[in-house]
Amino acid sequence: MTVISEIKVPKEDADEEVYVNTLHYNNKDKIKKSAGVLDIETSKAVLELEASLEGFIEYLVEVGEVVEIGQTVALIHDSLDSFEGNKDQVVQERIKREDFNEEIKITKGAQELIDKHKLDTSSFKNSFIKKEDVERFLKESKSIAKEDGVKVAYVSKALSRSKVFEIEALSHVQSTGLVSTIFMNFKNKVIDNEDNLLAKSASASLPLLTLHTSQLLKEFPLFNSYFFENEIREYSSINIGIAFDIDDGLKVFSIPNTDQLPLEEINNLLSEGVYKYIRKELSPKDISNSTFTITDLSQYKVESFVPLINKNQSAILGVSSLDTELNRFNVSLSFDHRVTEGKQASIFLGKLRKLFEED
Amino acid sequence: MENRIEELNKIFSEVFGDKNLELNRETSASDIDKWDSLTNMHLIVAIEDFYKIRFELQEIQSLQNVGELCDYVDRYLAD
Repeated sequence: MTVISEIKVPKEDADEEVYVNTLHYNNKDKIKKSAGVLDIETSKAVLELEASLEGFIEYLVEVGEVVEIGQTVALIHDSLDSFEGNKDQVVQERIKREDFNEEIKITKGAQELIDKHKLDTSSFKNSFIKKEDVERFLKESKSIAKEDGVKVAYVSKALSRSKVFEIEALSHVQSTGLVSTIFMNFKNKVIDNEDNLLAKSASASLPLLTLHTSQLLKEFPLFNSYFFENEIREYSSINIGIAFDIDDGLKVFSIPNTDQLPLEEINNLLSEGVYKYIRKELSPKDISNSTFTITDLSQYKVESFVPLINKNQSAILGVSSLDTELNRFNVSLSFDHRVTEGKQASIFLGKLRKLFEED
Repeated sequence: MENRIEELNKIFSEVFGDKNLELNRETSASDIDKWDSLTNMHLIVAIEDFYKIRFELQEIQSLQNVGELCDYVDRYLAD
C-alpha cells in the first residue's frame, strides 16, 4: 500500500543535459525487478534506468522532458492502491525551478543542427529546444516574405524571450514620448580600492555613484517614483537597479534598500550581480523591485548615450566611458516628463556630480 | 608554482584574447589594459571552471596580484 522504490537520474551524467527518451511501460503497469523502465538521453549516450524492485510503475515525467541529476523520474508502488497524483506535484516543482534559472536545454540532434548552421540559441523562444524546433526555424528562415513588400531576401530570426521582456519593459515609458535626457561631465577620481588586483576598471566609479544616487533619491523622491493613471506613485524604499547587458540579454540587478548600505557592501553586491549574470544564476528576486536604474556602458568606449527608462520608474542614470585625456566621463539622466521636469533633473544631476567629485 | 602560473597564463590569454600575454607573480590589473571589473568577473568564472571550484567572491577581490591569486588557488585546491 505504499511507494517502495524511487527511480532517480544517476549522477554519472552530472556534466550533461539529460532528457527522457522513452517510457517502456504505461502508468500502473506491473513490472519485474531489473526491468528497464525508461531511457534517458544525454548528448553522448542513451541510458536505460531499471527497477530495483518488483511492483507497479508510476512515471513522474514525460518523453522529451528535461530532467535533473538526482531527480526522481518514476515510483514503484507495492500495489495500485497507493497511486495518488504525485506527478502533478513534481511537475509543478520542476516548472518553478525552470522559471527560476531560465536555463535553455538542447537535445543532441538540435545541438548538432545549431552548430552546423551556427545559430544563436537566443533565437528560440522555448527553453527546451528539440531537433524539430531547429528544422522549423531553418525552414522559416529561408523563406522570402512577400506580405510586407520587401524585395530583398533576408533571414528572419525569432526574438529571444529576454528581448521580448526587454521591449516590454522599455517601451512602457518611452512610448509616451514624454521623456527627456540631460548630460553632465564628471571629473574622474582615484578610487581607494583601485590598487588591488581586481578593482582597476573603467567602471570603478559605479559603486560610489550608486551610493550617492541612493542618498540623493531621498531628497528627490520624484526620481524614485512612477507615473500611473494620472497619478505619481512614490516608492517607500530605494532599490537601485544596475543594468547589465553583457552577452545574455538585458537584466537589471536590484540592490534592496541601497540607501541604507555602506560603500563596501554596495561594491560587493555589484560584483556578485555581475558574477551571477555571467553564470546565468540571477534569480527573479535578484532582478525584481528596483525603483531607479543605473546603466553602465563605460566598458565600451561610449562618449555619451540616452538611457531608456524602465517600466514603473521615472528616471535612469547612464554612465559612459572614461575620457582618459580629459580625465572625465559623461553621465546622462533620462527622466519621465510626466513626473518631473528638466530643472529638477539638472539640479539632481548637478548635486550628484558634486557629491561624487567631493567624496 | 611555475605550473600554476602557466595554467593561469593560458586562462588569462583566452579571456583577454591575447596569446602573447605573459604573467608573473607581480602582475596586477594595472599592467593589463583590458583588465577591468567586467573582464575580471569573466576571469573568475573561467578560473573556477578550469579548476572546478567556487571561490568566495569577497576574498578573491581583495587579492593584490597574480602571485596572491596563485597562492589562493593553491589553498583552495588543497582544502
